[in-house]
Amino acid sequence: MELQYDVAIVGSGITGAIIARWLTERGHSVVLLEAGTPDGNSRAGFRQLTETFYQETAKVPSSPFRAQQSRDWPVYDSGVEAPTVLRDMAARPLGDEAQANAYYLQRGAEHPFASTYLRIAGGTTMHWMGTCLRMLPADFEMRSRYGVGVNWPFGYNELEPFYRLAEWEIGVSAERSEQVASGAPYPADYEYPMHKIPDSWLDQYLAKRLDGFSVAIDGQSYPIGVTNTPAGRNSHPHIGAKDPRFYAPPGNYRPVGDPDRPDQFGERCVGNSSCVPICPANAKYTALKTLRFALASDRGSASLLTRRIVTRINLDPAGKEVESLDYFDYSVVPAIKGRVRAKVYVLATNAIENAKLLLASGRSREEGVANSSGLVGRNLMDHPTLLTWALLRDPIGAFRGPGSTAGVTGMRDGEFRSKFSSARIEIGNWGWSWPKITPDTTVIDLVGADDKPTVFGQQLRQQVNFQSQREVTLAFEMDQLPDENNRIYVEEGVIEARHSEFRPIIDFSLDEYCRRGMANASKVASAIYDRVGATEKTEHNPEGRFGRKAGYFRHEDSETGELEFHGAGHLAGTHRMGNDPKSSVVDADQRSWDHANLYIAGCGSMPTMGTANPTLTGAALAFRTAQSIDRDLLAGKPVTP
Amino acid sequence: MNLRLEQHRANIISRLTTAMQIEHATIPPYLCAMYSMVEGYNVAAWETIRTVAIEEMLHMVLVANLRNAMEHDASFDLTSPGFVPEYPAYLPESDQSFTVVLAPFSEKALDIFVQIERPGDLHTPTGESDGYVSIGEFYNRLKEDLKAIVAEHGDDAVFCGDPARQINAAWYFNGGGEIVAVTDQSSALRAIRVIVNQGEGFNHNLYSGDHEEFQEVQDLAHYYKFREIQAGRRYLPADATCGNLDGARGPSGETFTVDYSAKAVRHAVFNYNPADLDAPVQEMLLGFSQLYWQLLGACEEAFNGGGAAPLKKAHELMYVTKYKAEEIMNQPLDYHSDSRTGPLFLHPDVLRQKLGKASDG
Repeated sequence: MELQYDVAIVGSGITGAIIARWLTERGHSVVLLEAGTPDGNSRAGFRQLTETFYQETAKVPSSPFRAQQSRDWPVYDSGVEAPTVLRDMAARPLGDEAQANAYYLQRGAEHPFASTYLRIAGGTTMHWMGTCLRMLPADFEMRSRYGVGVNWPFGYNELEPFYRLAEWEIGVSAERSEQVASGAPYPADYEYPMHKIPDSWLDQYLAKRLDGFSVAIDGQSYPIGVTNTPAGRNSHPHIGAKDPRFYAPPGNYRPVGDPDRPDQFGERCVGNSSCVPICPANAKYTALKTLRFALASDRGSASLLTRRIVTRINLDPAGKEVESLDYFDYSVVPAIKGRVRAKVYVLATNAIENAKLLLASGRSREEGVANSSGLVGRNLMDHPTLLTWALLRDPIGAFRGPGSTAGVTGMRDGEFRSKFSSARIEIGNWGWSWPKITPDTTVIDLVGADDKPTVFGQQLRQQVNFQSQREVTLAFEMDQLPDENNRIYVEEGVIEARHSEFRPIIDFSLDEYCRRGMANASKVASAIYDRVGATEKTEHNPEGRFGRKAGYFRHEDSETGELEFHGAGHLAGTHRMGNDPKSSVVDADQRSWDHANLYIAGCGSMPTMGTANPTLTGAALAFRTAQSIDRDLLAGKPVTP
Repeated sequence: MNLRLEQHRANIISRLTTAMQIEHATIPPYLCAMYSMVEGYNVAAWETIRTVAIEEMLHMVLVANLRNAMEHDASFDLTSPGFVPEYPAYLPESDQSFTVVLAPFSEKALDIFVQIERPGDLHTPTGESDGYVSIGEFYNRLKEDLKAIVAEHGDDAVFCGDPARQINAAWYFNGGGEIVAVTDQSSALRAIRVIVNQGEGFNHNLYSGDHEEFQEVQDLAHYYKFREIQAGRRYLPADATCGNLDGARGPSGETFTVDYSAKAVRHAVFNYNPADLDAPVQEMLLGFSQLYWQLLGACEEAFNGGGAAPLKKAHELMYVTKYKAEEIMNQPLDYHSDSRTGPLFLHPDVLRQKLGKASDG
């Protein structure tokens, strides 16, 4: 079975959705091929996801979607499990037999790659927090400014208009007047579409106590403060702010609620406190909100084909252009194979799956498609995250509201970046739930493991309450430099049998630049806790809790000598952009240097990480790509640079 | 001062005062139906009634904007006894062809909701009073008055209110339509059009006009939302045959579950004597009245030019009153049946009197 369109997009996450919407509004025909299911798209489906989440004991990011693993899930008749939730991803010691069941195979490196993602319509935005920070100008020029990493093929100023488009498409809540202090320039007449999500009581508490504080990093003083974090979460619109998107309806910005009933549900955050993994009100942005407009457009046409896993990119006989995509369609019984043809092809899955598909498609596994540079799959980056936590003197109402509403600023940029990583510090509103799985473990610890409980009754309630109300976590998202040896690749025989796909094989470790940055971060954390009068409770140890072993290592410069990092779920770098085909996979528009009608889009194109959560930057890049594809189609052929 | 203009203006403002009462009067019955539904059951019906209730609140704001546009320093009063009718009651100035009661989610409740929203041309006139037959008819008379006064005196003279009092679009959400700021005849007529079309549909079809007016997703008018719940079926566009929307055909689309049993609905009763209740439940009732009248007070303050603070307060109070109402509905009225206690929407002073308590300062 063969289908034909102007544009075929692999993946219906935020990158695919943004490109689809733009091109559809420009009058083109687009198909999105999604490996997962469409469950969040209808109110009934979304409610089911929420119900599943409520009933799960472990509220991990994939918890609303776990039911899709079951063959009893009523949506499926095909008997094929959706690949939505990756099999057990927990970081495991190398050589552990449990790796046989895991989706990733990790070998040959010291540290685990600990981040996961979702394969479902809407992509990983289905469970993200919604943080929408721009990268800083320096992040684009790491090589010229600090002599480390590489430069992007353009600077912040050139990407800035695309950041605006991304902020209006996602619907970001923030005050421009507060954000200008971050160091990223904004045009004078720009305003965000919606007012900021109010700072939490904890944010205000820390801000007061950090007023006038600064820390010394590598001999220089850096002022430390608290700033509200821009969020893809609905709030009151800024009346009078101008929408930069050509397809936006006239009048004031209208917050987009539930994708099925956008005017009736989810137009405001109402404080459900479960953003990760799901917003029951649907006030948090997911790519489904962009997809629904792409699918409803009457200017062009968009089709969303779900339960189709693209398994191979086919090149023409000369090996120059992409001719078609093969996919495995498990929406029918029995599953069948299909093929799609288009004028332009876009890979928009994520950094790992994009690279995997390219490598799986080559004549030889090492070569892959679009890989004359040899860099496909290489320079895999995350934001290795150092968790620190403390008990505050006073109650601050933890576990309420969005997971994070502000960050501690001051460490994102500076001269020290020539020597070690900078970091973004996220203030966690949900107590110690991330590092310690409180309040569940609080009860377990207080009651004790024997038959005779140590603490119970009224005393138990009081102590749980006392602690829970005073918990704070500061998460340091570390910048990570590109390293060719950090990579994802595939190998014959290492297969995910259910869907005839390759399993990603990942090599990953932290270099000394990052380790030293984490060591420095651990000291900054202690200084902050000291300043605000909190008792630090951070502990890092090799064994971890409940068999969870994050990336543990020792470093003499750290506060206690021991450190541990977690994955932030930020996947990047594996098909990086640049000006030179020898040292990059795609150009500044995310077009493959090797195949003029193939775009490889998403955070995988990022040459450096900086310290901003990457989704907003990925979204900005998606708008650039959409405009390039539009030019291609209008010219009747790919416009080779 | 132009006496004729001011008399004419006073006449319209009097109608707008009635309009505010009418729009609010539909809300407690809708809320009672919602509060009575046990979570997890009748989800489709709950979501529908919720959007209707929210849109009635939009109508209240539109009426406030209309009045504030035409009257300088308007003084709204939502909190004196008499603003909220003592249910069962007729809609103010209506033809009194049906009574509005507080009831749990039930066939009886749906019958009344359908009557409230029924478009004029689908009513059978009873000929017993000269009140309006439908809410739409009431607003049509208002619209004619408005056009007449502007034709005679002009926009500037009529719309002399302080623009700063107009409540802006940012404050309304999770319902169809938008807040219209009223500054002239065109925006005034738009505000009235939104109210009428959301209730009864426009151009003799099923829909609310929000799609045409505000580029929103196509949505049914309130009357047809209730008809869907009565039938347990969705409308298809083809069901709107010209001039015979209520014919034998009815909605013919997808079915959905409607369950009136005690498992799915708290069978709340409202016609009891509050003095007969146990003391703790009496306290709950009083607490509810106080909260609800604080909510009305916040709306009143916002309409009287209070700005953002009372609007925020009103939103918070909506949640608090909901929790209190559900608490009351969880109380059995007696121990022999599945009857529950319905929250009475009685002014705190009136309730205290019925409870035999002294007035509160």
